[in-house]
Amino acid sequence: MLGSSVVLSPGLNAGSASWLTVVTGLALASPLVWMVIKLTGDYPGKTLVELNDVILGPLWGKIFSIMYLWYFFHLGAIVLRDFGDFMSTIMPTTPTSVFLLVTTALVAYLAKSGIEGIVRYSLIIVFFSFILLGLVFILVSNNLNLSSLLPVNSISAWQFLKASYEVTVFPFGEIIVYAMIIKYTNNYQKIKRSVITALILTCIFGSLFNIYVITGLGNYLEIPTYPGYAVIRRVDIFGIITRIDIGGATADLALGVLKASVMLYAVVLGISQILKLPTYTSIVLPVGTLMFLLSLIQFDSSVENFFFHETTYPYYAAFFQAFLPALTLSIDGFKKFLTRKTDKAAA
Amino acid sequence: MFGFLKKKARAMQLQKLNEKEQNKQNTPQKPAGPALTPNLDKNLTILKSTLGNSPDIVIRKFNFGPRYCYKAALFFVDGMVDKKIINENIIKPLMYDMHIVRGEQRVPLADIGELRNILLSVGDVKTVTLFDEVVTSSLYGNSILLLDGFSTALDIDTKGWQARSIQEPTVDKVVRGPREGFTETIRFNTALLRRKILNPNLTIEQMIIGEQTRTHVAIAYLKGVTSPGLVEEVKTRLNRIKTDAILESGYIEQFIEDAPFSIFSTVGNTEKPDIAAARILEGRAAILVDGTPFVLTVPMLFIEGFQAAEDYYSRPYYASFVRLLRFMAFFLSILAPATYVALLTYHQEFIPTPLLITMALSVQGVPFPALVEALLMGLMFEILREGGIRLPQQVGQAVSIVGALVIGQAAVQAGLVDQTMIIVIAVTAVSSFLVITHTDAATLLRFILVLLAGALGAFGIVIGLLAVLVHLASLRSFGVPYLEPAAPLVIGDLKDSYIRAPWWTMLKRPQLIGVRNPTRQDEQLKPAPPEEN
Amino acid sequence: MISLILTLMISLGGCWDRNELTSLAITTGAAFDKSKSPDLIALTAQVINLDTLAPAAVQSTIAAPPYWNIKTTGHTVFDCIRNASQQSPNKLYWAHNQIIIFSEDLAREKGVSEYLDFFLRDAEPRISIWVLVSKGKASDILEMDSKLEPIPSINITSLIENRRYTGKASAVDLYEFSNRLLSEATAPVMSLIELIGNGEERTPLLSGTAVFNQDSKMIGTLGEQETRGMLWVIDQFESGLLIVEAPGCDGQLGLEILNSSGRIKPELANGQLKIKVEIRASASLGDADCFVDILDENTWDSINKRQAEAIREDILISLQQAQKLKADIFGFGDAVFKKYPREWKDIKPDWEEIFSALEVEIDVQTTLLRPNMILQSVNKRS
Repeated sequence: MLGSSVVLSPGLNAGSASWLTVVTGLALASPLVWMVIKLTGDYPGKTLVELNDVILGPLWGKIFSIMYLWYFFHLGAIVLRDFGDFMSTIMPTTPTSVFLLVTTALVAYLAKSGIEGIVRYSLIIVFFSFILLGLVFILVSNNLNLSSLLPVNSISAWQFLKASYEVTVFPFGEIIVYAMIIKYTNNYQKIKRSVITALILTCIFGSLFNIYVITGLGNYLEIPTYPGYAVIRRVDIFGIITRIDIGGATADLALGVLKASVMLYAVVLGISQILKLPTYTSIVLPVGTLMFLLSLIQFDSSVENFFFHETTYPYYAAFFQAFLPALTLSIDGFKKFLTRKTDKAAA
Repeated sequence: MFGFLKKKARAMQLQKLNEKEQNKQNTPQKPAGPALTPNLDKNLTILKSTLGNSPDIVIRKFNFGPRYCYKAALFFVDGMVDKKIINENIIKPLMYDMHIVRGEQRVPLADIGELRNILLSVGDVKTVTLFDEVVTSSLYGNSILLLDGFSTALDIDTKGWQARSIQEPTVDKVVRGPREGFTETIRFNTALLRRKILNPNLTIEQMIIGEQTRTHVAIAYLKGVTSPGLVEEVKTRLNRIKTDAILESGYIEQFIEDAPFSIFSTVGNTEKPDIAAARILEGRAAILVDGTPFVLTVPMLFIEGFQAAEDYYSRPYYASFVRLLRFMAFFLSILAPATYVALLTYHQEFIPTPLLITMALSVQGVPFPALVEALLMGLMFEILREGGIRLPQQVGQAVSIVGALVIGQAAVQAGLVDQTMIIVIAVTAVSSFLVITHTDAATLLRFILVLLAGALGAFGIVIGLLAVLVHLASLRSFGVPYLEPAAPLVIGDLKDSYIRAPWWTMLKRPQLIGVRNPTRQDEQLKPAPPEEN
Repeated sequence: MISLILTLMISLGGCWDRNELTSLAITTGAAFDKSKSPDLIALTAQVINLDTLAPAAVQSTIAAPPYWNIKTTGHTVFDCIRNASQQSPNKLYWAHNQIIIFSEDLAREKGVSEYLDFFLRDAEPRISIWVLVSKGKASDILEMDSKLEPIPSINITSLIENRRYTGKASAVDLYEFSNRLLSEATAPVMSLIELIGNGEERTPLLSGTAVFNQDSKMIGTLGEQETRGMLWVIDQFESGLLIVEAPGCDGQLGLEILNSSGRIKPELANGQLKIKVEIRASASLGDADCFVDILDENTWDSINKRQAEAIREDILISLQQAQKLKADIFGFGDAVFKKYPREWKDIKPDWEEIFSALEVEIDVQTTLLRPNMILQSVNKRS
């Protein structure tokens, strides 16, 4: 989750108050998180696909599952594309497809190694990324100007809410993918704790990151395509340590691969559960290829991608992140209510 | 898709195999082979026909006992036995001992075992009844005493071939620490282990692997510390091996490792008893193979490559520093040429301006692209290295002189290679020897990364590194994640990873290996000066 | 295995962004002048001439300059740069560009923002490069014969870094210029450079500041003292000498500023905007023309007071000039915006007028730290 938020820095439209939008975004996301925890907690040991079947019956369950899987699949493709665009900006003459292809290969490899591999990979990557970003932070600290955080209320409440909402759907709302992979953590309390820690960590990191971008750029914040990258581009220490862009890009890439492979893993796991395949590893490659193709053809230019993030995505994502789980949950509640009633009637 | 089909096919194959195996188990144990007959001559004829007319097979016939009434033959393989034992402790007592020469009343000898009990002054004497046993043990240096009229023979331990004595091993050298190394003889090796761990719980189980070589293989572990599951797993994997020959422990390694397609080794090896003992004490199992000084230890973790015996013998601060140094050197050895190529061809902005000018001056007029240059120089270095290892020492020196001169000086002066590249390759070369365990993996990685850097610059390097990381994260060695303790994160075990914490803080054995008995030592062992009154 | 094949494929198939170092012309400076035609841009790019720096060439006595100035024209900056490859065998490589110089007439008439876009947009250049305005032709600056550092553009970089010893020139990098340009109120500035001397002996002199308006057109300059006043206020005064009258004798003292900080505090009371500038500085006694009796307690105090007075005077002069130019070089407007974002909306349209009549309170507090190695002067008799 950290990954693409680092590249795209959500909520930065809110100007100097952006770092606050991360916090409010988390607050807005809390119902979504609650739904995820509730769903997985009520049906321990079941993935999203399985519990859809239980709650909604085999037909509607499948339809819902396929919608979710499409979302994960698309999200993975979006993440890939974000990185492809980013890399292409740094290395302009290399075709985006090359970056996408290579990255997808890696993502598929990681997804194939299963949830254990993903978790172990993430442990090391998050550790190294934090170190790397910490180092970068130290290097840019010279350029940070804390007064850029003022004034806090430079934008209207409506704009602020809108920016917060953007943060809610991206990245916090994406927590729904947890419902797909969470069955591998066996303890309900543990799930709750891990989900909440993950969110809070993301929140802290996100706000810190936004603070760092705001203070690092000041008014300049308005113009760069990748603000986080622009901060790093400013680093110049005695003319010796300059252009450490690569360091930042590395951390981005590692985290992005993680996110995309979680999505891919969720998709292939879901498909294998729907089709009752004995193992998911066999479909990683075909699905990965499709993901690569989708990421390649979905946008003609990075500007299109940018517009998609700005305008369409918030509503698009809300459908999967809020509407579908809410519907599932209320049907579940209704069914339980009914059974209780009939139980009572029977009694 | 293809992978899927392949797996299907393989699964079917495995199923068939399983069925076969089960059928085999259902059939009764195979017959134990022909037994010895009471007729000595017949026995000897059969033995001769089994072993052929090899000159090293000796059959010494002699008569002994009162009035030389017993016809006997001593059967052994020349060169494998200690002649002194045979002469002094077997033949001499039999032929000259007053006890038997004079004791006429004792005739006839009821049981061949009596000879063992009263006459033979040798440590290990067994009775055998089958030809197979006779052949097997005689080929391993034992002498067989056959006696006419008895269908049992005595199997006398007379092993005594010429073996290399215990020397200091050539790798894993230490400034401080024991200097003895394993030898080619399995018995010596087990003895060396026993000398390190006197606890009776040190269990050594032996088996014979290899249809032709019949190599003795031993598993050593510490009962109560090593998890029984691990020992079972090791045994199953070893029992699976049905092959012609085991000439070195590397054969075994390739039959039992978890990830045969990985460039990283998932089975550890060592030439030093103290290292093997330390690993056994952490809950690992050691596999000793006759005929090689290299002892395998499983499970193996990635981190083991960075641990040297001396880390534990010297004080923790410097040891920790050296650990970090090894990590640095490892990364340097796989990354340096690739980074240089990437910097030179893609990321010139990263280099400080004055340095860039220097570098630009040094590459001026060099005809090859940086990628080609790096590959050529890297290959050249590997060739030199290989040459230096295989050649006799005197010639090896000549090779390195030629290499240093030709590559270091002449190539630069001729303008074929740039100087900085030479420095980079040299640094790589030196640092690749700091982490011996992973040197071969590092070498391969280095070339792959150079190619990636040449193709995609830093992006390529990062992708390559991440792929390696994904690969490492998916590896397991005998059930233990390869990257433990970093991933999965085991806080306690980090004390012996990137750093080496003082001994008195390492209270627990590595958690995922030494699960059975986690406590290594008492708490509060931290030394302190006596309190003053 | 697959990855290996993939790698080989890619590395053989072609390497798109690859630039062999030998095929690059390392560009270290760019200068923009007015071109003859108003539609065209005239660019002088300075590239390093490696042949003259090679050891063999250095030993030989051929005195070719270690740089080569490529002059090109084009419709946009990028066009100019690409046109340069019609003249240069190697592709211009901009990641190591150090400075951009604009000639004064260009900056005054056309503004500079159209020239900066490329340097911000392209991935190659750094955004921490220095921007300067030259009196006279900008390309001349790149052609001077510099003494200790053979490449003029790198020489100028060092001069800019040396400003910390005098505090008489501002140093503005591309980022900061853009940052000020993007602000609603703050006037962008650049360092000012000129050539002094004539003929072969011309050397660059870095002093003062060029002031721009929000349309990125140059509207005036600040002299050395005015520049210094600005640096005090925007907290960029690193070090420098203050010359004050010596108390009790006829002569002057040089005080070396060791530490300083400047803060801007806007106050809005009864619709009346007031700016308070707080300067904190500490200095040591650097030299003395005449005999100052430091052991006399009053002398030390009065030197300190004169220090504060000198700083205040710097700022006052600077403020006067800025108000005359109606250019908020200090960032007062931003400070107001940060403290009173609501009221700022009303102030903003007339900010230039308000600024030019703004009441500024200057609060300077100084410390005089030490007299350094000697307590008394040698010229005791005076």
